[in-house]
Amino acid sequence: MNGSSVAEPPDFQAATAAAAAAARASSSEQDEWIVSECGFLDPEVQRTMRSGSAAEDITQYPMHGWVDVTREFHDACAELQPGELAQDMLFGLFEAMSAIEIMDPKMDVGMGFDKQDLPPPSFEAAIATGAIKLDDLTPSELIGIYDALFSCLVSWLEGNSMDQVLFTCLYLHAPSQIKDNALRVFCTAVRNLIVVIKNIIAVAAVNEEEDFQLYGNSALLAAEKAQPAAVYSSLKDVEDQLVRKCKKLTATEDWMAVVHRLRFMRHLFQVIYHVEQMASNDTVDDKVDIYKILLVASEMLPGIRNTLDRGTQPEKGSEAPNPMGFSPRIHDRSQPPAFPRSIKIRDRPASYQFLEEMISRFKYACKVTKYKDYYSALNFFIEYSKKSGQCILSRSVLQSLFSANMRMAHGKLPMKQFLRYSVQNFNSPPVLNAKHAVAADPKVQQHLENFFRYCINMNTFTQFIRICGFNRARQRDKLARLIEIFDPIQVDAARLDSMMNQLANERAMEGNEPLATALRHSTHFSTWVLYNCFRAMLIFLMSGFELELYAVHEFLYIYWYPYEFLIGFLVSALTRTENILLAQEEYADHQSKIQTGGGGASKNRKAAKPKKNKKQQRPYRAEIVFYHALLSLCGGMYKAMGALTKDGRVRLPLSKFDNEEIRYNRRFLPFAALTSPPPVSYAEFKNIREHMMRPSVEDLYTYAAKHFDQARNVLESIQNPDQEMLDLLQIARTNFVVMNVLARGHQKEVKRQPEFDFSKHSYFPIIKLK
Amino acid sequence: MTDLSISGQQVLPTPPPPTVPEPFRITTNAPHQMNDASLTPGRRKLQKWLGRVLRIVITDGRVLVGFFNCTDRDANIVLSMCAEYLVEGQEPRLLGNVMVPGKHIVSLNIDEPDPQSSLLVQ
Repeated sequence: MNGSSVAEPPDFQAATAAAAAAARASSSEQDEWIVSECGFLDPEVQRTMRSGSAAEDITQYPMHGWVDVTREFHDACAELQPGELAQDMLFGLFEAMSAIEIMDPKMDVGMGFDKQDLPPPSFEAAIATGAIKLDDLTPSELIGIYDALFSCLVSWLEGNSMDQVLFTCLYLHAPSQIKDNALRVFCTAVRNLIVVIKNIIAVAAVNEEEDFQLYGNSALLAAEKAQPAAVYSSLKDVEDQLVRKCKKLTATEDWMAVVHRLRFMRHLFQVIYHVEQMASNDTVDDKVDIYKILLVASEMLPGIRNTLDRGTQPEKGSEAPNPMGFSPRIHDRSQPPAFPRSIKIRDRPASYQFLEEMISRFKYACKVTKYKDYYSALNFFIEYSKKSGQCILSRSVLQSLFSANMRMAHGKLPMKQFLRYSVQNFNSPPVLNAKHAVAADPKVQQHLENFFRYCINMNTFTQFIRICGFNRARQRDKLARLIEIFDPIQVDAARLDSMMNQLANERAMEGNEPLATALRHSTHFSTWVLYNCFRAMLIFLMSGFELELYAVHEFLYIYWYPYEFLIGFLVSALTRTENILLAQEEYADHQSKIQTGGGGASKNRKAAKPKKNKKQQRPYRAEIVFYHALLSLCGGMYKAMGALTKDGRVRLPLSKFDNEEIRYNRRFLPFAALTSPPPVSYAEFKNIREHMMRPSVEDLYTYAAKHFDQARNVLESIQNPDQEMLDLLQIARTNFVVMNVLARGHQKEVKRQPEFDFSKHSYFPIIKLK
Repeated sequence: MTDLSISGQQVLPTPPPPTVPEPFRITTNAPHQMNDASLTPGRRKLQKWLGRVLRIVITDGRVLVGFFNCTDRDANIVLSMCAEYLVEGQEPRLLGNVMVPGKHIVSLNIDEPDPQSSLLVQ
């Protein structure tokens, strides 16, 4: 910072001047500090100075000698006012946030240490002292170690660091030194499993730091090379050996419990390894049926859970998951300081419970291969996230299966083809139909090509599916960014639509009627893009309820937006799509009739194709009905909130600290970037709300009740409702009653805020009067 | 933050002397506050110690050595580049930023050339 004076901050000049003045005025005082002496020239210099060689190594201190200042320090602190800080000029909020609190059991790993404690035993030390056996383990010892290792695995998948859970098992440090076959093979399998799982999660890349610690002590892993391909057969060999051994014994139950665990490991490993291979290689033997293996694995579990008590159990009060082979604190002091510290390894029954649930999640994920177009795949991902969103491995496996499936099921189908096929499947734009005459028109094809390439380059659609793979809490801010990038795609889709129409008109002018019909177009592409955008918007908005971000007084406009706009848009997009499909079928029928009249056999075959579609005449009916129910629920909540607010039953922020407009704009911020739907300003909202709030409180309650009643009717009309619909039905029923009670003036004097109970459904509460 | 915003105009070399509002919210070792005559003796001491190396013995016997960054009325202390010694002289573990609650502090030492110099402040 010795540059021109222009670059000097004003503070600097002032400070130098002040220092000079002070030095002149009070040079007699001994403890006066000259600025240059202190080195506080400016923050940059300061930073450089402190990061210099001396400061880098705190262990070099003391440079001079320790002087006890305990008394003085406390006295000095006592002079500070409550809330006042004495802080270094370089100290800021960031440093404050990253500090570990000493003596906090969750953060401070050094806590509870005792000077007399021996250092935690390492693998070598444990062998030397005879703390661990390498050979001739009893079945009960084996079962204990296996079960403890499964617990560690589960704890790792729940986001703990690999070192602090899995590698507390000393056997994992050097499995090749284990002489006992059953133990060595199992430990090798666990190590390979770690590598494979890490790969799956890294490739799927839907993890966040709170989900999963991708980086652990790789030095320990690297010590022995992973050979996942060999694991399956070596597990099988050991199993066979043990089974043969059992034949010679009279009491075989303990050994069979060991065999079952090995077998379970073998199947689990096989599935996970296969998924990894699918995700990373193109050439995979797809004869392996994951689903069947999963079935076998899940059949092993009840037997294993029944024999939990046959293994050695962890000692009471000990942190080790098993008496032998574990050294819980071995890595504590090698962890980076900002690590999550307090590790609780899951107990054994809970771990097997987790594994069982994970296997059924995998089974569920296998279904993704059935969904071959974007619309149904996205639906599946959204549903999967709701049901299985908490497990990082399950989410990653789904991503792997999906992308592998995309490549294989459609003969290495690139995303572009997939999207093309999806649009065709969604609303069947005539230009995409290969049978139409325009399929060969290079100009048309070029436009289509450009559009889909743009979709891929913008990554919008792929991103949407990926976002559904993240944990629920992280989806929201990712969706906010996704919504913003929908805008250019919308523009492009609209341009494509109008281009097709223009071409159609040109062809019609030329008198080329078949070509014109093929190009004649309503808003196919933009409808498709908009529909997906609306869905992202709805999920974004409603996820705020799930994450408990909204204050009660904000509910009103959050429910208002989907009620007034969003769900209506969705319904109309779907209705429009259905109508287009219907019209096309009618047209195709009409054409085929004409052609049959003409009597050509080959033409007849041509017409047979569209008839197939007729079976699924109204493919979006169920979804439209469901949206109608949501619409009524949102309407009910909106009016209920209006009524409650007018009734004085909603706690509002003090006007002094309140600016509703800012809050409103923040809540709808991601939507502001879109041209369609156009953003709704706060002023417009205020007008609409004012209008809505005009009737009497009783009337408002009655209106809300009507909406809930409508929702109930719609939901009751659904055949084979799923659990979500039944829950919504109960919410609609209850709220209908509550609104009616309030409309009749119940508890009129008590202006208490009702309770909003989101336990039934994460988007809609049951309103409860206390 | 208004208490802090002592602008260049206010701290001109010529009088009037800077009017420092009481109570202080933040005492810092930033240049513009270094020679502030209105600071109480305790605050000046803290100001002097800021940025220097502090050794804290805590209730469970561990010793923490790090740069003194921040403190408050209850002597909660933030250290940066902190090293944790289970036994002094043995290999430490580096912790980075730590906050030591005042109630866990047993004793405090500052790295200083002359044991007497700290008395001179008074």
